[in-house]
Parts: sequence; structure tokens; C-alpha cells
Amino acid sequence: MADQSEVQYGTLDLMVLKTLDSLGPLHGYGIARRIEQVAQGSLALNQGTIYPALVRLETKGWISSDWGTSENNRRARFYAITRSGKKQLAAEAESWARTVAIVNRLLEDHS
Amino acid sequence: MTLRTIRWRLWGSLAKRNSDARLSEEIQTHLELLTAEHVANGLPPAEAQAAARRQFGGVDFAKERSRDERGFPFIASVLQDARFALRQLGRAPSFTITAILTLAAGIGGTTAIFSVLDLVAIRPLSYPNPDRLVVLEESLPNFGPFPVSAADTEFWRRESTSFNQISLIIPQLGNLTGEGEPERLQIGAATPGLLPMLGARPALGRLLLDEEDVPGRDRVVVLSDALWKRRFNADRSIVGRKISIDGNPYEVIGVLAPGFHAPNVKHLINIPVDEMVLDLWKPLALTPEDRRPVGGYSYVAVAQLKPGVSLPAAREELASVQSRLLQQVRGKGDLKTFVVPLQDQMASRSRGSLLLLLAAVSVVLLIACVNIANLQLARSVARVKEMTVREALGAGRSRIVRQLLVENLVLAFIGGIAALAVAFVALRLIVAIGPADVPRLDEVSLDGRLLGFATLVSLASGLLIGLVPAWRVGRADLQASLKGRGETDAHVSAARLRSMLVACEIGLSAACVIAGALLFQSFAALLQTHTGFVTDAVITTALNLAGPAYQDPQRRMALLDAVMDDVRALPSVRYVAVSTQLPLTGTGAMSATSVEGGTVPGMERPRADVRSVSPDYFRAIEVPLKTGRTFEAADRDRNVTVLSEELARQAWPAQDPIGRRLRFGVDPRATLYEVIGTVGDVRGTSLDQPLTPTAYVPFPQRSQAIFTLMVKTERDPSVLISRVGSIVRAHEPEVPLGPFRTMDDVVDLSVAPRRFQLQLVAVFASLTAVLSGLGVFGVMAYSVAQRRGEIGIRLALGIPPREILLRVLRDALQITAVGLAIAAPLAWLAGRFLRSFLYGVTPYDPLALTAAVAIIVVTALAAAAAPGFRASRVNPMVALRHE
Repeated sequence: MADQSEVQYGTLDLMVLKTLDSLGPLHGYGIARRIEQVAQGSLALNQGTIYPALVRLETKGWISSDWGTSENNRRARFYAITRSGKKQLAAEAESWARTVAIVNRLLEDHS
Repeated sequence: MTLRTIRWRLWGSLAKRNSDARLSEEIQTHLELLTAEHVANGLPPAEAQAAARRQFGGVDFAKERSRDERGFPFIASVLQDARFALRQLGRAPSFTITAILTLAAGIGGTTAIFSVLDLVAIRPLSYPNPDRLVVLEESLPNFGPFPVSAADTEFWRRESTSFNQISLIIPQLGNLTGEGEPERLQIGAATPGLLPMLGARPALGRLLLDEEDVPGRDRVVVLSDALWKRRFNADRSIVGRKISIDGNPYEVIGVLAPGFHAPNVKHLINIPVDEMVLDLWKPLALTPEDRRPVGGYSYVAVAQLKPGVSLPAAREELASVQSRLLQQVRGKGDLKTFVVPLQDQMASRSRGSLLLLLAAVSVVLLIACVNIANLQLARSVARVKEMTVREALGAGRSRIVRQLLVENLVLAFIGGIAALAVAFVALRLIVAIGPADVPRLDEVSLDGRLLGFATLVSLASGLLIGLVPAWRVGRADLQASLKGRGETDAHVSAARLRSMLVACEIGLSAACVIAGALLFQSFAALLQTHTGFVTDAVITTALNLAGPAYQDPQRRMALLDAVMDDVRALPSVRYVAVSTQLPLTGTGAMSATSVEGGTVPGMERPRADVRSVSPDYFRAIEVPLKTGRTFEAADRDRNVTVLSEELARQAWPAQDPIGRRLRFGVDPRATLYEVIGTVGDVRGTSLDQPLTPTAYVPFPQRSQAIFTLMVKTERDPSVLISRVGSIVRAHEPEVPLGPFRTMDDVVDLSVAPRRFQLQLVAVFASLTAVLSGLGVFGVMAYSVAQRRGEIGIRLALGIPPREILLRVLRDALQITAVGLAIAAPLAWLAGRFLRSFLYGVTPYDPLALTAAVAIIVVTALAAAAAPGFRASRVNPMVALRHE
């Protein structure tokens, strides 16, 4: 049952890491907004799904979190990428690029 | 999972409440920010909130998923499954209670029997270096193994290099007097090194010293903890005191620590003898007579192998020592040595029987599990809808299967806990009524090992019960059942599976019932064995006239004559007699017989159980006279003997023995006894042992201090007990009065181990029959309920109700037939295993097989009758309307 969502999750993890890497510490809402912005409407993201991803990334030690204050003066949890998170991002970005390249070549061959 | 992840997750599980609050707050903030964004874009607040919620998705879903990431979702969901299972089980109380009780009985019984077997045969003995302790025995080509002789042991000690030490024990009886009520005690006269070798430690005083094994220095005793507490009220000042045994003073030098479990001497000897739980220990001080080179094979030898010496090596070495001994000393015949691990020796008599019981009780458990699996299967068909809905709601197939497994594991676990109570009670019962053949029962307790065993068995049972329904759900087409059509398919295939399971139950049960029937027949055959004597209206009691006052046999006889005269004068007494040993009470004083002028080598001469009896012995228990005559009063001082027919045949094949003479033992100077008559053979040792070749001599000729008084009366002899007792006391107040037993009791006692075995197997076999009957009932009742509509149509079409009933019965018979086919190979296996337990029947005895098959068939028919009748009384109108 999990095959499909597993891929999604993995992708989401990568997106979250990349977002935090390029924008610095953000809260959940900020991360979700950023991903939607970048996707320019081509990704229908249920914003709630980033919270499991955040917990998972924090558990793995790739991001850290701390309380801060949001734009509307509410207490919010701010997430930042850690050193091992950056390493992970680099590794995953590379393997992602490789995968994409392979799939592209395959598709070109057959079209 | 990395260590870090585990730590985080662990923290996550522990700090659950805290992180839940944090997550709620985060999500709340997130929603507010989203709402604010929509408001800023011009939406009215209410719509903005709705839009924010839409964009966020399910709040609970997000929380749930986050939680899964944090803790250990597998364990959490298994716990959830367990909670759900408890609710499900609580919703079906009658099923749950039945299942738990059946499991408790099955697991508890298995655990109890296993714990005894574990103690007897598996768990190392509670002595130091248990694997190096061995029992030494000797044997002859046509006899043995039997205990060893002192002279041989001394030779082994000098010549053999395999053993650290060889200790001898000889059990003796002694009268404790001067301490209140006189009591007959079991005394272990032992090589002083024995107790330390077995790890015994003194709680008070000291143990026996090596130099105390000489006559004159041997008047010292060490008390067992039990005797010390029972007879001496745990008096700590006992050490140094003198106690009187057989009228001789013995100094108490020590009391054993309570944790020491002395072996029951009975379990150390290969030949059937009486119970010998030792009350106290004294040094074995051998006299020159005890050391005679030939004869005196009555010492139990327990030895400790040297470290690193293997059993085969020790056997070989001792055999070569023995062959040197045989070259030096003539007249011993082909005397072989045996080296047997102590634990094997102790377990030898009961291991098989316990294995048999364990097998039987395991079958009960197995059938109980199959029954519950069957019920679960029926429930799972009824629960197809539930499963389908759960799957539609997103539960994975594996999750549903796991749910079913967990449900049954929970069931088995509760059953397992209840089983501990059952095992506890069962163990108590076994210890209380268990036959004396089982060693180490005094060490039985419910401990960690048994908890582990019970847990394993519960786990296995839970898996067994859960696998069948889970497997079925795992491959059922749940989608189809939502459409309504699949349900009948599920019913049909489940019904087939259930019939198959019930057939297996019947097969197992039939094998068990056959075993029970065979054992029952053996027991019946045993009781019908011609004992050679008549038990009616005879009461017996053992007497011990030891001690200095009776050293002189004349005085002993004088007292005995006076007692017998007084007892004879009691009303309704017909005969009074004494004998050194009663029939069926084990092997007596075995002795080689040397025919006058015979040429047979010493150790190959016929051996006789020599029993000293008074003239009325033969009349009291009606041992028939065959030729010649039995003893008369005038024979008391004459060297005459009466032989059993078997012994006469062996001593003088095809010749008339009357008037011929023989000696007991191989010493050519021993007294010659003239044969004056022959009597019928008697089962001297026990019912299942061959007839004992026996030589009877007049009691005064070879009187012993310990003997049995027998009184034959006109009517019920038990009324005489107190009067006989007071006559003995009137003549000699210091004599302990043993238990009074009728001859029927004596016969009864001799078959007690077999009866115990039979009773347990019978209980287990009937349980299997009842359980498989329940299985048949369940399947038939279910199928009748399913086919109500069809039956209604048949009835409406004019088929007589009787036909319907017969059809149900026929279906049940079909299942039974399959079951019996399964039983055939099982019964064959069981028969091979049972062979050694049977007496007077073969494992394929047609009567037992027929009876067992009849029991199984009748049980199945009886179980199917009620559903059958219900089917035949279906009201067609109601049934069809229901359809």
C-alpha cells in the first residue's frame, strides 16, 4: 500500500531540505508556501503533509528546530538544516539528478 | 534504524504528550497564517478559514502521520491491535470463555506433565557435577543388572583409575525407640564419602568421617532435615545426644541442611523393590562376612567419574578390571559390570511413562487449538463484512491478518496465564497422588523454566489458532464479498476447511482413544493375571523385632509365637502366619541354589527367592499344594523346604524333587535342605513380572528381624486392626506398628503406577473425544444453519424429515471416515511407541481398536444428532421466507 506515498514522501523530504538550505530557518507554513511558490501551481500539496516530513527529518538529525515568533506574532517552530542535513541534501540531489538523467535518456530512446 | 533515530523515537514515545501539544500548536499557527493570507487576499474571515483548512488537508491525518514518524509505530499499532482484540473478545464472551478455559486446561496440563518430565529426565540432578555421577551394577548372562558386592567394589577401588570415588549404600530398617511412639526408620548405611559427593552439607554438627567406617566406630548418625523436624521438633541441641535404634545407642553427630534431596534408593536399583526414602545416615562398616568373595550382591554403588573420563572409557576400563577380578576369584561366573549415568538410572522407570503422558496431553492441547481455530474460522466468515469495511477504510491486507493473529495471541496469552493456575493445581495433584515410580517429585515447583515453557506453548497455540483464519482472510476476495456474492463463496470454502480440520481432530483423537483402550486392556489383563494366591479377608502388617533384646532368634520366636497364639484366639480368625516377604512386594532375598551332587557351575545355578514362612502361610493366602506336603509345626527345627513348581522344574528338570536336597548359596559347606513338597507358582515380585522361582523354608530356620504378620479371617478383616495392634503392644511396647494392609491393598499398591498412567491417559483420551465431538457439532450445526433455505425447499418438496436427519448424520460419518483414515498411520506409530507399556495385548489388538473406533463413531454421531434433529424440524415456510 505504501509504494506510491513513499516516493512522494522522499521527494517532499528533498524539497524541504532544499528549501531550508536556500532560505535559512523557516516555520512549517513558510516551507509549505515556498514549495507551492516554486511549483507554481503544478503541485497540489496538502500543506499538512509536511509535518510528518519535518518530524522524520528531525528524527534523522538532518534538520533542527527551535521556537521563534512568526510574522503574526505567534509562537512558531522554526526549522533549520543541519550539517548532516546538507550532506544528505547534496547526496540526494546528485542521485536525483542521476535518476532524472537516466529516465530522460530512456524516454528519448523510446520516443 | 540508526542509534540516533532509535534514541529520538524512544524520546518521541516517552515525551508523547509534550510533542503532541507542540504539534497542535504548530499546526494551529500554520492554519492562522494561512487564514491571514486568505483574508489579506480579500476573503471574508469564515471563508478564509475554510479555505485554509482545505489547503492544509486533514489535521488529524497530519497529526497521526507525524506521530507514526516519531514513536515506534509498529509497536504502537500492535498494542492498538491488542486493545482492539480485547474489545472484540469481550464482545463474544461465550466464545472467549470457552476458548480460554480450553486453552488453560490444555496448556496447564502440558506444562504440568512437562515439568515433571523436565525434572526427571532433562534438568541436571541437584548434585555437584551431576554429569559425572554414575551408578555401578553387575549382571549375569541370565540375570540382572543387580546391585554390587562389597568385595568386588573393593577390588575396583584398588584397580580402577576411572573414578574419583565409589560409594556404597545399603538401605536398612531400624526401630527408633525411647523418643515417644516407636517408629520404623529407613537408614542409609553408606560409605562416608557419599554425602559430600552428593553435595550434602550439615546444617548442624558434621557429616560422617572416612575413618568411621569400621565396626565399633560406626555408632554415629546424621539425621535428614525432615526427620529432625518431624521427630525431634528441630531441636538444635540434638547434636551430641544419643538416640536408640534397635536398642543400640547411636550418637547424633549432625543434621543435614534442608536443601538436600537424597535419592530414593528404590530408583537406584534396577529390580523392583519397596520405597526407600532415607531418614538418617550412618557409616557403612563392612564385616569380614560382608566382604566374602562370592555373594552379597546387595550394595548400591554410586560413583563419581574423574574429570575428563568419558562414560564409554569408564565402561571399558571397569570391564577390564572386572575380567582381572574374575581370573583371580573362581566361581563368580560371567559377572559383567555396568556403568549407568545416575540420572538415567533414576529416570529409567518413569521416563517412558511420562513421555506417553506428555504425548497424550499434547494431543489434547492440539485438538483444543484446532477447535478454537475452527470457531475463529466460523467467526471470521461472519466477520467478512467487518474485514471488508476495514480494508475499504484503508487497512492493508497485512494489517488485517496481523489483527487476527494478535487477537489469537491475546487469547492464548490469557489462556496461558490461566494455565499457570491449572499447572499449579495439577502439579500438586501429581505430587500428592503420583506413583512412587517418579523420582525427584520432592523438587517439583513452578519456576522460571516452567513459565518459559508455558509462554512458548501459549505462543505456539496462539499462532496455531490464528494462522488458519488469518491465512484464509489473507487470500479471500474481500471486494467480492462487499458485492454480496463472495460471501457464499467464503462460506463454502470455509466450510470445507473446517470439515478438514475436524477430520484431523478426529484422527488425533482416535489415536489417543486407541492408546487409552490398549492401556485399559493391559490393565484389565494385569488384574486378571493369575497371581497364584487368594487375597480374600487377609490383613497384613510389617513388624521389626530388631535390637539386642531379640538378637537371640529363640527369644524372637518366643515373642512371635506368643503374639500369634493370642491373635489366633481372636474371634473369626482362621489362620495366622508370618512371612519374610509378601507376594507382589518386589524381589526378596535372591540366592543361588546348589543341588546336592549337582555339577552346574556356581553362578549358573537356578536362583531362588528364599522366603521364610510359618506353616499356615500357604493356607492363609491359599497357595495350592502340588505335590508332597507343606510345613507342619514339627518342621520348625528341621532343614526342610517347599519349592514353587517353577524352581522345582529348574532344579530337577523332569524329576520328582520330593526327598532330594539342595543348598542355598554356592558354599559347598552350607546346610542341605530336604524338599518336602511343591506348591503353585506365585507372582512374587509384581503382576507384570514373570513368576518368581521361590523356595520356602520354615520361618525359625532363617528368621529375620523384619517380617510380615498375616491374619486370615472369616469376614472383613479390618475390624481386627486395633485388636491385633494391641496384642503386639501388650507383648512388646517398643515395636513400631506398620501400616495395616489387606492383601487387596497389597495387590492394589503393586499396580498403582500403571493405574495412575491409565487414569491420566484415559482422562486425556476422553478429553480429546469430547473436544472432537464438539468440533463435529460445531461444523454440523453451522452447515445446517447455512442450508436452512435449501433444507426448507427439500422439505417443501416432500422429502421426509427423517431423510434430512440421516443426511446430516451421513455427512458427520463422512468426516469421521476421513478422520479415521488419518488416524490409521497415527495409531500405527502410537502402537510402536506403546509396545513397552502393554501387558498381555498387542498394539494392534482388534478388540481395543474396534472399541476405540466405536467410541469415535458414536461420539461423532451423538454430536451430529442435535443439529440433525434441528434440520429435520425446519419449518419450510419460515425457512423460505427467511431466504
